[in-house]
Amino acid sequence: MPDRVPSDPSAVDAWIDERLEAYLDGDLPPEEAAVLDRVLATSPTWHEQADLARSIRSVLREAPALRCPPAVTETVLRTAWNDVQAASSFDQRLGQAIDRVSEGLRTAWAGWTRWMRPVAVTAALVGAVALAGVLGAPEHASVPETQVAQAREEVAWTLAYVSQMGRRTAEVVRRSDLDASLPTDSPNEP
Amino acid sequence: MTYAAFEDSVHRYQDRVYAYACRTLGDPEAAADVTQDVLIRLWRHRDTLEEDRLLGWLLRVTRNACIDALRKQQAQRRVWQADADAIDRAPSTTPSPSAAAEAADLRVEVQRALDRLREPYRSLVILRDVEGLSYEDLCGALDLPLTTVKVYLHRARKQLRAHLRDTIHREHA
Repeated sequence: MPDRVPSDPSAVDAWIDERLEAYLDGDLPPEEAAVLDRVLATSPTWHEQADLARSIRSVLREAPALRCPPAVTETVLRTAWNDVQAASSFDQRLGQAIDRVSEGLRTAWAGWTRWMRPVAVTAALVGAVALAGVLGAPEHASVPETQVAQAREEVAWTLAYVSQMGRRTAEVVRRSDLDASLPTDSPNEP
Repeated sequence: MTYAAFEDSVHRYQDRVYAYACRTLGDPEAAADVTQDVLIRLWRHRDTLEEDRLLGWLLRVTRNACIDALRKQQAQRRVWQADADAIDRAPSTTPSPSAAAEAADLRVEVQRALDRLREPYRSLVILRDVEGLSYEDLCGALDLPLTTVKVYLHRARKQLRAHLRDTIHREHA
């Protein structure tokens, strides 16, 4: 809702002064803009003020363009580039560390797989023999008690070892560790 | 923001930032320091900024940096004030330039009137009338709504006009 021109003449100048800049910007409601149109056309004082306002804007618009010194640009870009280089170097070192750990894990897994296969086969055969001995087979000759006891012990050792290897999957399996853990006289050895 | 995008932003906005700092501080060297600081901050915050609000952010940071720089200047000025007063009181051996000739230069007077404006009026005039920023960028730079920006801008120009009117009246008196 546009403001009405004050009826008090002493307040009119303040009213116009408040709106002159908005008038020059084209931001006044049409009714108020029409009032200023009439005032500027009939009042030399306000016409002069409008000219002064336009002159100020013209001077400000024509101020010389300022350019950022090249040294500033160079310093800023060099700072950023140094950060990029440092991050890249860190990424390379991190990548190499990850590669080393992955290689170690692959070696450990290969070693574990290589040595666990015969152990798993041994455990299965020993378990089968022990089971046959427990269940009994009337058509076959009975297995001596000592052999059953030995088979049970070997199965227990093998299962314990499998469990231990399962916990140590990240470590490299050494042949000496395997030899030290397996029983010396397995029923499947030639 | 990649390094390439950052470099592009630097080239796009560095003059705007420097010009704003220079016109606010009135000191090209201080303005260069502020510009460098602001652009490096842009790099440090590159991943948290939106591309379409970049200019507003840059100008806002520049304004705050200029305010800090001006406060330091004023603090240093107080330290040197005693010496400056002594110099002012010392008799001058060279004739001062014609006051009328100097006052007749509208450009000089406009600059003086601009220097007398308080914030945020001064920043609004510099950014809108000198640097030609859009209202949208002005709102972002000063973190003000559009209606407030327009009202403040009109007041700032009215104050400029009032300062110049007083100067002209003094000349003709």
